[in-house]
Amino acid sequence: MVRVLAFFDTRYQSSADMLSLTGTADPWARLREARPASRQHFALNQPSTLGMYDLADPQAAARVVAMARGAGIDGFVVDCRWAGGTYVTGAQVLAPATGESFGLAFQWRNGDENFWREPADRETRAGRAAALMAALKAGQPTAVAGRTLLIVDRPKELAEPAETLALLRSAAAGAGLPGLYLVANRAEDKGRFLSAGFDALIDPGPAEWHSCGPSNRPTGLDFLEVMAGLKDSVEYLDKFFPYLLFAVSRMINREQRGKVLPRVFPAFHDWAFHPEGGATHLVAPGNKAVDTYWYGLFVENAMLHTHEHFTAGEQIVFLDSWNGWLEGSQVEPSLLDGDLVYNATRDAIDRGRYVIRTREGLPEGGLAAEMRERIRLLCDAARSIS
Amino acid sequence: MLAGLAYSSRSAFPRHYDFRFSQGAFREDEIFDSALSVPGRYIAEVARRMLKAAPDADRLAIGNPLLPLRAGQLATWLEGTAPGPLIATDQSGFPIVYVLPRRAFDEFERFLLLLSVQDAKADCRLFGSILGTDIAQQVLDLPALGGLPPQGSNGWLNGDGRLRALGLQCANAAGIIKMNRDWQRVPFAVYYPMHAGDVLFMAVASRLAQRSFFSKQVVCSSYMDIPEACGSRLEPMRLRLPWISRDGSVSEFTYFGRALERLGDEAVTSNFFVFSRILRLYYRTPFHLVDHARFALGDPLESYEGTIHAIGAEPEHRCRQPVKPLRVLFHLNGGWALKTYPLPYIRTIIGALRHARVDVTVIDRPDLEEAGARSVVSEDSATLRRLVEDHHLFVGVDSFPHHFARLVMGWPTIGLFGNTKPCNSDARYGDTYRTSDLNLSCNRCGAYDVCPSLGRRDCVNYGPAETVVADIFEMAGRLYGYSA
Repeated sequence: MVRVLAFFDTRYQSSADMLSLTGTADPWARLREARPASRQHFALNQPSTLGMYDLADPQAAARVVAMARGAGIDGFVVDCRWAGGTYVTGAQVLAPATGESFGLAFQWRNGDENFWREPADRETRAGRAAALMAALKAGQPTAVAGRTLLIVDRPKELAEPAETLALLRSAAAGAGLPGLYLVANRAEDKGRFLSAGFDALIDPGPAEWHSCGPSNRPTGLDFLEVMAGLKDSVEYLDKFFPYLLFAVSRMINREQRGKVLPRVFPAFHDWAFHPEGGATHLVAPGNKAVDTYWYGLFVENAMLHTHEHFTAGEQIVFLDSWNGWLEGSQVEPSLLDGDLVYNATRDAIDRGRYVIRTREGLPEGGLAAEMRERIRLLCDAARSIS
Repeated sequence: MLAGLAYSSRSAFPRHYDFRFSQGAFREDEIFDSALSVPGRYIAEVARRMLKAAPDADRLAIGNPLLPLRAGQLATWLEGTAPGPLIATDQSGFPIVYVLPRRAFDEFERFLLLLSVQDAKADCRLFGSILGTDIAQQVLDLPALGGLPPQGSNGWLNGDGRLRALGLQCANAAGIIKMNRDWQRVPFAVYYPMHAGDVLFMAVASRLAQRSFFSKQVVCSSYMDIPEACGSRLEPMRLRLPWISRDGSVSEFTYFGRALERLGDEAVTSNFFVFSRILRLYYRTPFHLVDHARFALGDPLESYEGTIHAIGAEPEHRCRQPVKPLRVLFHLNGGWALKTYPLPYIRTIIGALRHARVDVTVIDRPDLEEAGARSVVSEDSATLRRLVEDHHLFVGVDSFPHHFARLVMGWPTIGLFGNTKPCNSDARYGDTYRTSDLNLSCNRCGAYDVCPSLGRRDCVNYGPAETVVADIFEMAGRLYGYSA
């Protein structure tokens, strides 16, 4: 079965450990106060049905999980960050609402720490790894191949990737976890991530991987006009991408990129994180922030691809995101879109699961590798002749 | 969104029922989403569901399926109204809620299909004569809806004003009931006359349907051989008109009007015609077009197990020719540029298969003879049947020959899908059926001539040559013991 896991921001809570990480008692303030700096910036949306919840309230957390389950989502991926003494996930508040059909996975924000970039003695590193593993013990884990799923956000920033991964696995065993299913946040396996010990890769987010060329290609004249105050500076500083081409590009030739799990998203515009420019904007047809038809196709086709190319138990599609309000990628019902995106998500997951079910009768196995090679040669020969 | 209220003399308050159009999960509150069903079909289905849940109901109020309505809204509007049959409308007479006695659903269910759902006066007249009682019209405190958009929020299409066809079918029906005392015995004819694949889907649906309101199907002259060739249970009614152009130059409503004229007075006064052309976007669902047609005919389709994807369409058959040389029949023209399998791919496939001493036949593609294929002509279903039977495997794009080979003949088939969605017209997957496509996130784009994302004139979602050749060898090996 293909599972859909949604990235989830746990910072919307008033618990003490989250306060130590964010330093703010009002986690929604940034969203409320964010103002577009350009007419080309899509306005940020705000929650409707679930409100500006405090996840520290068990009922609020339960409502969030119930709503996600209702959309067919199988679990959340929550960030794990170093808070200067311990790792914090904020996942404890969700734990009571998790269970067999809804689990938690984790994304380690290792890029926030210098520690793993620099050399250190093995004992110190093992201690840090143990701290990381302790933070992952919250709620029902999303088991992938029987192990806890952990995405490494910046795999290239690990000084000794293979050794670090071995250390993490050892620490996981020590912490009583059933093992780790380690996923590198990379678009393709050029850096030999799989051979370093990762179990799979995941497509990076829209800001980290521009899967097609931008629709705006500023020239020197644009620069001069911006400097003269004659043109909106975002046209020079930000990048705008057509959503459809951006999504399609991520699915073309996937098989050749290695074992990469897809990441799907309804929308994306991260200008709130780039006040000085440099934001990424996905623009749906009709100059809209989101087009539920194309988004739905992205989801259902990613599910089908995953079903056809990954082994059972490792079939996961990552949905970015459940509540990424500051990047406009949220699925949660909102003031501007109502439950349009939420319903589109549920519908797409329903369709994906239906179509996958239709393919269950396909025979296992297939041609032997030698025969596939022979077919490749036959096709090459035919191409050269024609 | 679909909504209804069930009233019972045992209770002072109606029970509320809200449903949504299913996208494949078949939850309890979901109803199959059929693009070929008239809104009245949904009134019938909502009633079935409510009566199953509330068997003691003696009166049902059902929201107009064209509109996004909730049961709570209906209850508010209808609070304190008379129990008699009525149609509640907006201020312009557009029907919002139908309140009908139980026997309208028990005894006259199929007549619900004839409702105009846009003209309360016409619908009052129709159901008044069916029930033999006056049906009141009650104006709600709701401003005039002001016409239906090209694509409504509840998923209905009206881009070319096609929903007006429902008014026409309603008027015809009222005329029959007025003139013919034996109107309850007048047969129902489904109007779904073109194109070839559609006629085939309806024919297959008629075979599979467990419940059907219909006994006849209107078919364009060019396709008259298809229903019989497909074992249809519907009697074909010949429509002497060329099939409707795909360029939109003639609207579905205009064509429907011409069709009724061409069918003639006798046919029009002795059959209830139900307009079953595309009224919703079928490709926004994962359901097979045969199932869309089955629901339109009357099947409830309440679970995956009932769909054609689960039950299949036809017993499987195999080729009786010796296994060598392997013989493969291709159909590659989909009717428009992006639905046609890309030329470089097929040249490569033909070349590779010829190197492996496989005989390749293509339908209506003399240009591929140079590449090593034999081109043949197939102008009717009998010829096509012979051609298919003469080959071990059929490989084809999303078009009539593909559906005929698989859904009617049960032949080993590989489907080639590019810019159309396989699940809407594939078959039950297994040893003898599979599709070759890449699941790109643009599928289904619905474009005709130019790819909307890459600007090309061919579709990159088609499975490449290597995949198709591998699928051919794999299926031939599994079914016939063939080894290249």
